[in-house]
This record gives sequence, C-alpha cells and structure tokens, in this order.
Amino acid sequence: MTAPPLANLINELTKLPGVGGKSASRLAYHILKRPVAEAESLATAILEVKSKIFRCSICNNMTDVEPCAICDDPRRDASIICVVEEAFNIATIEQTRDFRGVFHVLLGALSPLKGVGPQDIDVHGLVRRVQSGNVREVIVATNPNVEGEATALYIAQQLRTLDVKTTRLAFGLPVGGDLEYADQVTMAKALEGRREI
Amino acid sequence: MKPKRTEAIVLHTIAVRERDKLVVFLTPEHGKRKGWAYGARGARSRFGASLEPLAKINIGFIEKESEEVVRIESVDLIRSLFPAQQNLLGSIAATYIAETVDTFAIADDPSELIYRLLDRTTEALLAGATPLAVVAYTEVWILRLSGILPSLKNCIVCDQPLARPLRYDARVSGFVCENCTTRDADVIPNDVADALDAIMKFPVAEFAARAESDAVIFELRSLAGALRRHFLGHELKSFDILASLAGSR
Repeated sequence: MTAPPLANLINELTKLPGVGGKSASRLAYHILKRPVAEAESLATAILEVKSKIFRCSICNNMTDVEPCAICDDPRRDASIICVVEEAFNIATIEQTRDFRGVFHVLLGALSPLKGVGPQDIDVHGLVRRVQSGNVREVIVATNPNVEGEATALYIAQQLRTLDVKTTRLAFGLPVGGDLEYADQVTMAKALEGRREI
Repeated sequence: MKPKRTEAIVLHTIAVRERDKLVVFLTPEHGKRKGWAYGARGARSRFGASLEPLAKINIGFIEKESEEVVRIESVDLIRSLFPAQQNLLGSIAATYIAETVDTFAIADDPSELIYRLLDRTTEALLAGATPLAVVAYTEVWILRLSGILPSLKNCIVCDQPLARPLRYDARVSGFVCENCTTRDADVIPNDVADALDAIMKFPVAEFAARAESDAVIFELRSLAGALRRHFLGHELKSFDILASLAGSR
C-alpha cells in the first residue's frame, strides 16, 4: 500500500493535463528521491506563480506587472493585434521574432461539444480594443482545426462592421515536410494561399 | 496482428497528452468506436487533416480483445468537411450533427443506417444545403432510426389512423387522434406535418432544396427537441450554441 502522503502527491499530479497515473507515480518517486531543497524550490515556484501571476487587463496575457511587458513596450506596434486562443500561444509567435505587434488572448475557442460558446471567450474585449481606435489589422491566429476555424469566423463576423482589416494565419505545408505526405485539405489550402516568387 | 480496415466518419476528437488524440468514429460494420491516434496533434502528423470532425476516412486499426479503445494505424482521407466549415453556421451545425449522432449511435453496434444518414447529411452540407434544414432532417431521422419517433400514421393511444391536423401530446410522447386528444396536446400546423412527411420520404438534399420557411424548420426542430429531451433527460451540449448563432445571423 502506498503511504498516504505519497498517494496524495500522486493524486494531485494526476490532476495535471497529460499526466496519467503511471507518469504521476514516476514524477512523485522522482521528487521523493531528490534533495529537500529541490522539492521546496518546486513548491515555492508553484505557489509564487499562483500568487504573483495574473491576467493583463488589456490583452489577457499572463503577467506579473500591469500592463504586461508586451502591451507596455513602446517599440511594439499597437495597431496590429494578433489574436490567440491561450496565453501560451504567445510564446510560439514570439519565437519567430518577426511579429512586432501586440496580442489578444481569447481564453479559449468556440467549442460547442464542450459547451463553450461566444459568451465564454473574450471576443468582446477584442471588439472594445478595436473600437477604441488606432487598430489597423487583426490577425486571427487560432488553431487550424474546426474549433479554431469557427472561432476565426466568429471574430471576423464581429469585426465586419468596424474599420479594421481582419486576416487569418496561412494554412499550408510544414517546412521540412514532404509533399507526398500532405493530405488533400492541407494541399488545397497551400495552393489557395500560394504566393508569387 | 493484422489491422482491420473500414470506411468511417470522425465524430469528434479529444486532445490527449502532448501530441495524441482520442478519436471517436462511426463505421458501418463496427458501429461507434474509439481509437488512439498517436502523434496526431503534431504539425507534421501523418494523419494531417484526416481526423477532423466529420471527415470521411478509410481507417486501419488494431484492436485487442481486452481493450475498449483501438489503436489507429492508418488513415486515408476520402472527404473533408473543411470547405463547409468555412461558414460559421455550417461549422456549428456540423458539430451539432456530429454530437447528435454520437449521442444516439451505440458503441460496437453495426449501424449502417445511422452511418448512411451521417454520410448523406455531411454531403448535403458540403453541397451548400441550408445548415438548419440539414440539422432538422438529421434530428428527425436519428429519432426514427433509434426507435424514438412516434408513428405519424396511427394514434399512439388507440392505434386509429391519424388525420390532419396532427396533434402531439408530450405526456404520452406521441401523436394522438381527435378522440384521444387532450387540452395539453399541441396542434401541429399542416405545413410542418407536410415537412415531416417530406423528411420521411426524400433524401436530405431533396428536402433541403424544398427551402422550407424558417418557421417550419423551427417547429420541426422544436418537436424533435421535445422528443429527444424526453428520451435523453437532458439537452445536447451544442444545442444552445447553435441556437444562439442561428439567431444572430
């Protein structure tokens, strides 16, 4: 029988996304083997993130200062807003170092099967930002799946009457991939989004 | 172990772990099945767009007797619904249809008729049929195929032939004749009863082409909704979202 404190830790770890019983058990035994200082450091980091991190009031990004570092950066072009589903999507776009605009985090995507409707995502906040002026373009960077696409269509519908250009991230072939393995939808989208060279 | 190969339509998927998907799919011979698609969420996944909801595919899977969830080995896309999902109402309607079929299809129970219904309704959406007409058609037929739709020909109480106007009595979940009717029975307008007949008689594309009025479609859906809720004891998750987006057109 597993000792109650260890069982408790395993139980808590299984609540994390993508962590099943076996992984939770492996992680718990790993923590148990490490020095106390390391466990304390992990516990402190978890508590700190919960007490110090909050949502930016402008873009919903996770931040420890208000507004967040991106919204507060005068070198960023606030007239271009890139819309993402979750705060962690910002990091993926920032890695490119090509985007110098600002972000808006929707806090989800339209997902009828999960009961997530338009009122459950922050499209109103985006509309308010566009209405407040000086926004030239909204780039919708939701996931390239059915839910992300429905969300993009909903955003486009909500912005239709406003004086702003709404664009969608391109769909297509992954760099380093092979045409042979492209499915018909991806290939059709790649053809549709082709550009002159 | 040799994989089983069959035609299938994806009902929905659940993101699992870092890069995997749990896929719920409907097949004509094996009914509704669940399968692991390892690595399906990766940008260079071999599954590509073939595991998106309502995609029609040729699927190869391996099943172990002791396990409920099969392992998906290969998928070839036959038809994607992606073009129809470029329209917001069409996209939400497709999700709603998938949820409806997912709710009524039974796991491991061969369901060729339900499969054919889903196949034809998906095809109609792709051909540009009015999404709500396709939804109404699906709602009525799924009740019929599940044995829930009451007879449109005979009174549910006395079995006498029904005459127009039809009367629906929610207390007995069926249509009643003039003699058995009570104050609580709803009179079904004749144009709605005609549309109901048309759903029973025609393929989905032909029904959608009749271009029934919004009011008739609404009445049909209300009737089907009442029967469905009575049977399930709850409403489908995507019902309200479809209703709110259909209302905001």
